[in-house]
Amino acid sequence: MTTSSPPRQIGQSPRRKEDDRLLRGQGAFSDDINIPGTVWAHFVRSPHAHARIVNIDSSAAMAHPGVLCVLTGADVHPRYNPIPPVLAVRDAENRDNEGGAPMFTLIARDKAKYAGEIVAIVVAETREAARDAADLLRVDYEPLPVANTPEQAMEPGAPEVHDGRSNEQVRWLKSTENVSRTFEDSEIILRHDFNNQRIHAVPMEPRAGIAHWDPATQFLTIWASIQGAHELRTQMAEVLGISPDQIRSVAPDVGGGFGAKHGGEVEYFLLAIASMELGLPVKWAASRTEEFLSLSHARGKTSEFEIAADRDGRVKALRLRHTTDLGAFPKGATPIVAQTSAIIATGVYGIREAAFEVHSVYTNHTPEGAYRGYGRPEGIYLIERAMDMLARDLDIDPAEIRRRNMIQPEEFPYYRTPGGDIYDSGNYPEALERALEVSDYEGLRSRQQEMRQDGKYLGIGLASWVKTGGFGPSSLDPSSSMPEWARVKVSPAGAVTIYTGSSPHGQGNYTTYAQVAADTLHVPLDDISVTHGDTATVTYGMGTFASRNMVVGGMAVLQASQKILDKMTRFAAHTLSAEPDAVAFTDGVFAANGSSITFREVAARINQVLERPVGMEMGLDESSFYQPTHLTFNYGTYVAVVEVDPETGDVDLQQLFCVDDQGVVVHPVIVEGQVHGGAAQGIGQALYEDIVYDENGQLLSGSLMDYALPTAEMMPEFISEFIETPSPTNPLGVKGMGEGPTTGAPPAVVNAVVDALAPFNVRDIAMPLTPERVWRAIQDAQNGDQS
Amino acid sequence: MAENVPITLTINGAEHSIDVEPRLLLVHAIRDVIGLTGTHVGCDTSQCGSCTVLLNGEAVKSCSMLAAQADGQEIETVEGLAAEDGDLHPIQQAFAEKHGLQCGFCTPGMLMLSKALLNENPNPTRDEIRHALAGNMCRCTGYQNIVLAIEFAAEQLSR
Repeated sequence: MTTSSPPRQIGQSPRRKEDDRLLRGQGAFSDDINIPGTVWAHFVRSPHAHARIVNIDSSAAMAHPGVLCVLTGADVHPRYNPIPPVLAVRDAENRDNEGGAPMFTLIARDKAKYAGEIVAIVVAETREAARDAADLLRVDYEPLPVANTPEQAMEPGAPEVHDGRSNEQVRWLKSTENVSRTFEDSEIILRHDFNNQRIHAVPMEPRAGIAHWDPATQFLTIWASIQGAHELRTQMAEVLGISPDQIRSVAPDVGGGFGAKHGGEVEYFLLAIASMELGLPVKWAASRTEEFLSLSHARGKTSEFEIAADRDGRVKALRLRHTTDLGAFPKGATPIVAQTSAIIATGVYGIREAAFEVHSVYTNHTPEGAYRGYGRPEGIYLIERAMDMLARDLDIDPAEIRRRNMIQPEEFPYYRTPGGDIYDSGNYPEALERALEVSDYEGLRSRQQEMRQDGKYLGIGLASWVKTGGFGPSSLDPSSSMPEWARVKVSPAGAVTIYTGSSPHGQGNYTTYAQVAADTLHVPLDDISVTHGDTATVTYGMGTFASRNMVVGGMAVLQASQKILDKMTRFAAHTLSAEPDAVAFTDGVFAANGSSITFREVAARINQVLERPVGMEMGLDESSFYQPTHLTFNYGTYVAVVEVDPETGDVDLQQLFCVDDQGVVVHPVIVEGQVHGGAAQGIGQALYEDIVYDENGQLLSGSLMDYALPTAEMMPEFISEFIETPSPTNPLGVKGMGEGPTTGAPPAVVNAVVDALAPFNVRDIAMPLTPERVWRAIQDAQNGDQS
Repeated sequence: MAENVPITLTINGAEHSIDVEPRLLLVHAIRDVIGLTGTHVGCDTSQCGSCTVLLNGEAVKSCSMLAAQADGQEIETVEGLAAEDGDLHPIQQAFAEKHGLQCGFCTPGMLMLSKALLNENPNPTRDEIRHALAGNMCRCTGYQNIVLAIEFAAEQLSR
């Protein structure tokens, strides 16, 4: 009997199974999929942020050669349903809109509510003909006054985005009991207004889709660049008024999503509707400007923030008032983003008293949606900036003030925050100390002093952060069960196929799910394949969002693998004339009573009727739902090092040290890649990216010429380290990790820049920290105008 | 509408004689007419570089030139990188080895840009690599592993 254990795959970094195809140009992204007879759609979008649609004349467009149909709101709305919101807001103590959120309409009918809202769809035989014909569509608009900021939209008499409804969708309050008294009794009160500017996820693959309604079989197939094929199917059935069983939804290779591709998009429903009208496959591939106009924006929040502390810098209470710009519609899960963002604002600190006030407001802007971090980055930004301000006011080192306030390791597991989050596990001080060590914090401080003598401005910024993972039930939505499903099948030849409802779009789950199954079944990775993103082959699925792929999807794979192993063990026990408990499974071999049978032998022989025990079904094909019971909370401390040129305001971000605890690390190289990429997006927000509207609600940053997506020279060196406290919420011990780096990077970078400019008395600079803003902040501070 | 024009493109060594609209972009000729979908369209404004191909050995953005302008010229796309026996090109291997790709959408453009860079400068510094990447965007990796992959490919190729 073999006694050695196979090398554990979890914790190793095998080459990614998905890479070969992608490197050869053999990926199949949605725009790469072609069906004979496909026709092309072009969406006509409102050029006005807010306008009555007086008349649409499609006669010239229809007369254009090759045009097959033009659909407007008058054609679509009587026959198809609007998109239902994904999540409702619970616990809203004071909600203006008791009637619930307005539905997301597929296409503007009487008025357009943001620049970019679809007013018509033109379908033609070629992409070019559809675009040419779109130019011939005559739409008469009557421009209306614009609700252009949430603050303005909340004023009495503001233009109503949804006629007859308050622009304030939700007013949500939550407080512990003694906030006011704690503030009254405190020696130090720090108050500051912060801005988390609107940004855009910019997955490199613009959305694309192809919908094919087959009138003969009454069956719809849709390929779309989305994060969850099953969710699209569910919504599609509701919109079209058909059964989900009449729909196959496929998310093929998806070129990045980052939350923005979570949930159905109006364009996909309209493609399906056009296909139903024509009985032909209808395709669309978005231009980048369409993406900026209509794929979710995110983050847009202004926040009044107050903390109460003692003279030693111990923070006792906080008060937060968030005003968030929803855009014109409540998209997907956005109604609760502002709440998740608010309650995380106590961060990694043992602050016991907190009051949160959230105003979520409709404006005539592109709807906001999920984006890597889902509200948490905005909340962490507030507390991490405020901690640095407090440190400076009290002349305490930023590391020391964090040390004094952190939740201690002995307060875990399951530390309950004033906002209702339950942090599963961690050692926050260890992450801080490790980050200080890795970055040589003391050495950096010495270098900073020396450089200042030479008129050079080095800045060191810390951020200690915490971020949810493994989306399941939470205090904000306890009934949101969010399970995930997996199926594991073993062929008679011993090949393993994993079917998962959490489909990757860059996260490497072809490899990491295979690692999970390999550790249970002792099968080489080359013998394991992963299938996902197709409702025809994957029975159930929730999709990919909220750092849940490994925590929830991986657990489902583990459970299904264990079911397979259980059945194989029972078969082996029968064959070896032993009790199942007496069978040892080692290195892919089942052994008992001095004899043995291999994994492959069991896989083959379990299909033979005379070999099986009575009552055992043939084959190896098991599925499992995993129901998470808690969120997980990954955390870390980041240290940013910048040099700022006060003459030009230019920020040279040199290094970002990242110490992360993501729980058990399944594939260190992939996880480190997620740290780089997540942090890069956070740096984008801190220094470069900005969605800008003019006074008429026109998007000014609507292309990659105008929106400063970071390039290689704009990125620092990343130094990534991990500490591991396994999550007690799941047997894998994983916490999810895609979004933490996006949460940690912005405050680390901004703290570093403000730290660099301490000699100029600069106290704050609003993101993004462009050279102009940095330069102006220096001038203002020199002139005595405190920002 | 203008008359179609006959053009000949040599792509990865194979000649393609096609009739195209004068306004057809090279990337659409490669993707939609020839059917090589490894070259991607990411921005339409020549910022992102997902559409990068080699034109007579130099990296160009195929979304920013007309198919007709490429008449009679040699084009190499990502599909032409691997050896005929299927072995990955050292640049492709380096991207796999250094985890230089996540979603893989920008990757074909990154690979072609890398090939042009290493033809011109076989031993670039990290700063030179970052500078060369200025016209190729990636949203997944933060670029560090792409830089390491190109550096590693340079080492492998100069052996």
